[in-house]
Amino acid sequence: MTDPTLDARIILGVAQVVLTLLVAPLLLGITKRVKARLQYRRGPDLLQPYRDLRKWWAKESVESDVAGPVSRAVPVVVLAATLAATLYIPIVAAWAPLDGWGDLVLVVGLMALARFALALGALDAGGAFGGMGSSREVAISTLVEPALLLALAGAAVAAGSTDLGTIAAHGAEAGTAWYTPALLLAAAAFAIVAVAETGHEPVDNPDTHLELTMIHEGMLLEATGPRLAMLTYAAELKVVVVIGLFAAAFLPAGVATALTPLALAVAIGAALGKLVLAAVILGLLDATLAKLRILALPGLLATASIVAAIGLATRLWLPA
Amino acid sequence: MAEPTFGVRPGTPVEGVAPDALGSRVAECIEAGGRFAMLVGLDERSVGGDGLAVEAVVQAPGGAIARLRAGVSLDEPAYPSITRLVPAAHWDEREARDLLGIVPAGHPDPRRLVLHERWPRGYHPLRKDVPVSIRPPDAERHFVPFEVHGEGVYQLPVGPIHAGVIEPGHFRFSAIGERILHLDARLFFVHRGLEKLVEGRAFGAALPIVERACGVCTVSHALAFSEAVEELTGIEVPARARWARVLLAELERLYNHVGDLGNICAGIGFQSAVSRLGWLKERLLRINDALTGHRYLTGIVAPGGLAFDLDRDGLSALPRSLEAIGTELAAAVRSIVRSDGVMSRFHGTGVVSPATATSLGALGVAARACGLDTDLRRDAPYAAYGDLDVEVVTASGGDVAARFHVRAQEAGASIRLLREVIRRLPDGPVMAAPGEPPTPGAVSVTAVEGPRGASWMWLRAGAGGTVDRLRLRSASFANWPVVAAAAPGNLVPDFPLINKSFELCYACTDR
Repeated sequence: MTDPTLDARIILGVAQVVLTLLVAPLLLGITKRVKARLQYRRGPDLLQPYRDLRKWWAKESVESDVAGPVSRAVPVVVLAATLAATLYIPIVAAWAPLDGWGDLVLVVGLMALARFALALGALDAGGAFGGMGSSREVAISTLVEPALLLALAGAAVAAGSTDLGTIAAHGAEAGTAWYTPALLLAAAAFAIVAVAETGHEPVDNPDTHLELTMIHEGMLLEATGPRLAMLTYAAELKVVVVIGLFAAAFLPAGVATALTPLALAVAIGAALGKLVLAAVILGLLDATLAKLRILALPGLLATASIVAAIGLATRLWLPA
Repeated sequence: MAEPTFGVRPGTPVEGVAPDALGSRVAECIEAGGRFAMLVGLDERSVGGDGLAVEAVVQAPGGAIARLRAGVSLDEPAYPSITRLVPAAHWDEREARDLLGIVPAGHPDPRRLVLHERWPRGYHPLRKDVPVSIRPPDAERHFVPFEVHGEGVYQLPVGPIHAGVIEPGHFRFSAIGERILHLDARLFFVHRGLEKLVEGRAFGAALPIVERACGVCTVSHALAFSEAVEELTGIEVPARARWARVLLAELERLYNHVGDLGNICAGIGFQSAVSRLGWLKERLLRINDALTGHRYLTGIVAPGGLAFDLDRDGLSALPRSLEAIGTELAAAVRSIVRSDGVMSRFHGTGVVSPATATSLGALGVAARACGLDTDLRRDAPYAAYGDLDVEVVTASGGDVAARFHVRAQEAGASIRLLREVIRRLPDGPVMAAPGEPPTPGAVSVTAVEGPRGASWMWLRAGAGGTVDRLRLRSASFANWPVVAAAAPGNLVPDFPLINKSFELCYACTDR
């Protein structure tokens, strides 16, 4: 693995940003389509999420009497933090656009910042469901974040670095040797966390109209117009971040470790393939699972933490 | 202490009681094995009286009823509330207070029920001297919800406008964290004054209004009303119509139960089952359409029999479609019951104890899921149910799982019943000759076991075959307070599931 020139990195970075920004709404479209097909429905067009964003962007924002500047700032902060997080994920090549300026801890931190801002915005609007949604989101995140960090630490220890590009390159070059029992445990833990982070069943139901059961959607109920567009787009980008993290750490095959045209073509194909596969799996979960009782969620997420911790312990005390 | 006297329908005489003895007399009837059916507020001036009255109806196990009436003066329209002795009467008493100004003194919950605070004081539309078409001024008072206060208790207002396309109702939760402490359900946002609207109308003209009290209990309401009119006018319904009425009532039960089973799954986001059962319900609605020309079976049941006969082609295709639907329903239910994720949500959620169900007067599925063995089709047969062997399904848990189970079993039983009815359906006319107009002031009380339980109809004739007073007490009216009682102790996000396991109508509660 040789570091490319600055010019190549700039071109690569721009290409990844464009790919990320364009593909994010499509993933939601795929998830919805899969879910619809499993319900004997035709389902919305794959491009419908793009049209929704355009529609909301053209509308005015209506806000509650008690909403203040926080409500105006929050969508920007959430979108900016999520966008920034995508810049550290080696989606196509082992060099993310901002590779070297931050590592996986920063990505987890940016996700936490977005979540904090979103919860704050939901409280600011003063609606009952916003407060309910943010209280649930924050309660769940206290369990999600440790599991997320522990699972990623499993991969970081294996690669000897917290830099996501280095982890991905290590994994891609190691091939099947990457999959030690310790890493598989970490991957399993991350898979559970990924479902919670992206807000799909059995943790959350993204398509429900039952206000009392909402988690993520509850925080969006007061958002309208461009603010809703920004928050929805941020949620779509977050799926790319979470799946990108999973792919970098646990499914790095295909990531370009050299900047040859062939390697890049394979890498783009592999990246799209992984994202689409994840979107299909999320749709399958939505259609076929029932939501867990909310008080069962801590058990599920604690299981993820424990599995990740066992993986880490296996790695640290039983070196391969 | 006098023995309660239950009279056989039709023509049960009314027993006059002193206002302060009403509660104890009703309680005696209930202790003797009766079930509270309804309490009706009356303005007697239209039938030669000079004041107001309240009448309680209690049903004995064999189906006979007792009618106990207490007069209330116009100058001082109050009587001692019976709610503390008969909790099931609590909404009936508040309704009579709002609509007729008959005050149940000492009622534990003296808030407005049907007419919200914005209606002016002293406006009681069911009094005979209030014209039907006036627009009273806005009182500009606001509803004060019942709230529990204390450290860590917060209020969660839900509705009356909801995110989904459902009917309006305001639910005020007092909760600690995710745990519900108290639920105050505020309904009657779609009170349309249907009972006032039918007064003075001929029976035939009142039927379409009664039938449309709600969209999914049309056969039950039309049937209860038609039976009441037939009792008053002495009409003998032809055999084919009596059997076809069973067929229609069971089709209504079936599509409601199948849809409700799917809706319960929607409460936990179990989407594949929602659409699977939704498609089965759609097939049942198409069967309804083929048989009667209306997907929700409106317009066929009428006093005297049926307005028209069932479609011959639709009828001959029915057994085969029912068999296919029965097989698929059984498979769908099996796949739901076998899912641990689903059943762990159903078990122990929204438990109603048999004692609560009895005292609040729960009806239908809500009652049978608590082990109360009650079903009017068997206990007080109407139409052709007397000639049929009705399976009554009960469960003991009183939770969502029990209500799911009872519905699933009843849907299967309905299909079996339907196939027997099709086999035994006699030929002949479906409409009897019109009867004699009843004596003004004659009363008939009937009940029909609808998909959600008993729909009670109290009908008093006016001059020349018109309605003088009608009260429709739907099963939803009886069961809403049970929903509110089922919520405390459960988790806030489990409430939609609990609510859907009852799946009550707002429209036929509000009327």
